[in-house]
Amino acid sequence: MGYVGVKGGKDAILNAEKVVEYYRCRKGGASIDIEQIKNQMRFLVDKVMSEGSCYSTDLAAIALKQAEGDPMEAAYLVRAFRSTVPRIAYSLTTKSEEMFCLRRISPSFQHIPWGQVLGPSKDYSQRLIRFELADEKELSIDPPKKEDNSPLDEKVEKVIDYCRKQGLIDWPEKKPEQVPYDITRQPMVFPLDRSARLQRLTRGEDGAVLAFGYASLRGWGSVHPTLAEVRVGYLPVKIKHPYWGTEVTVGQVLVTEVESICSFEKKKIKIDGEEQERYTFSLGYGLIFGHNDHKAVAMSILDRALCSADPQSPVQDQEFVLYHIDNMESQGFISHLKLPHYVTFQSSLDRLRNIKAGKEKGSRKINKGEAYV
Amino acid sequence: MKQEEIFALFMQAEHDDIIYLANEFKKEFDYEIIRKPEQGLVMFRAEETVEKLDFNVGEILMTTAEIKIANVLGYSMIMGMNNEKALDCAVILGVYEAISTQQDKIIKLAKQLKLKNESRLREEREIASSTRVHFEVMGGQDPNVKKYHQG
Repeated sequence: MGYVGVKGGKDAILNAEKVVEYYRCRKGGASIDIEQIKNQMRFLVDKVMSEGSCYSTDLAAIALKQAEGDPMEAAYLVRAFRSTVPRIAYSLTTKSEEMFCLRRISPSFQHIPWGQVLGPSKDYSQRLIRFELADEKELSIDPPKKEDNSPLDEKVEKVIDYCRKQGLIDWPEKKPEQVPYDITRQPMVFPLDRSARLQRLTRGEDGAVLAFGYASLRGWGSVHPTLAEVRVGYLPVKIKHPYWGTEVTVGQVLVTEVESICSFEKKKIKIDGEEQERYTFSLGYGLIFGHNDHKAVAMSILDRALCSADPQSPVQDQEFVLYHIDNMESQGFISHLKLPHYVTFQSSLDRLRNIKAGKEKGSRKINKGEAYV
Repeated sequence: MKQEEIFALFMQAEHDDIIYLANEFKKEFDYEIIRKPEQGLVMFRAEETVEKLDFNVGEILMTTAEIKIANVLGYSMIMGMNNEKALDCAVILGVYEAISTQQDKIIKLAKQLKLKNESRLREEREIASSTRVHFEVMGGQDPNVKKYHQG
């Protein structure tokens, strides 16, 4: 498809930008404080950090203010900003067992070590609008607490490890030489390495990831899991100190993690040189910046679906899913349709007019009232 | 207290909690800014739990700074955008390494930061614990659940 550029219109474009700003400000009143966005629009901030693929609550909040609450536009701003900032390091790999959990539930087992902790959740509440918020003056609330003297650095056993101990799920072997693919530095070549797929999924647009995950549940895929575990909590960010050469912690990030148990599969493994067949559960994995249960769950569904060696449905197709879940690409391409297409459309007009006039070879004149097919 | 722990405590501290000590050091000692505070990105890597694969989750916005004091480098890397805090952390860590007579003062503050951090985490833990739930299976306990639980 060809595209012919246009030029001019600078004054109108600049004014159009000013009009947007005018619309944001024309009612007057107090400007929204960045701290207010960070503290009272937490899920929106988390969504922007996740899709913007850059963890900074300040940056996300400023972008949201600039985008007047549009998360897609805000994520776009964040991605654009991050492209101007140098990459200074890769963190050391963090294991999710190190998470300081705020929330941890398992829909697959009733009794789990450490227990089911709902944390901040409205999963079990009615969705009724609280009209009293319209007149809320001050923010003040005493949180519910229950005495708990358990060690703060206690590692909580994973439900899937619990299943592994019973032989229901394979124990994976860590490959120390594995270097994760980086889709921000390397092109996407299909079939895509699983580490690249996970990176692509975790920064995917919330609605798109959710929709494809949902499609799989509804039958446009084969994955309909039982969730082993949903966790929300803080993971440490560790780097190698540039002068000491030792591991140091520089901060922590809030993440949501999901492990989903999918159908069981037959595997052929070698035990003492002899090939044997074994049935075990397969798993899907989701880990995203911020607190967003449904995106992490959908990611875990898609992770499993995309492991398919013989895709039978769209959501098992790597190209179909991974090329269409990125906010920048999808909104960019859809939005480009709003740009002037005068020249390219002219050729379509000419063609149709020629057909109507019966000038084109092999065509016939379209009679009045007859639809052109 | 190990230097790595001190580093971690200062990098994650509230700026207000460390600013007075940094200002004290800035007045008392000559230091040279080797690298002005600037923003950079760290790609955050995690190990997923299905195959134990490492993958890139996304980048984290950081601010780093570097100073030199008595021929010793002080380095800081903090999360977010706060040039003043990054510089203050670099000064404190530089003083810690360069001037041994000041170490007790720094360790004392580090211990206070540790207590404050533990107190915050304890509160988070107790808030989470208040939401611990035991859902009951309607119509009686599924025997399989007990069986699995007993391993």
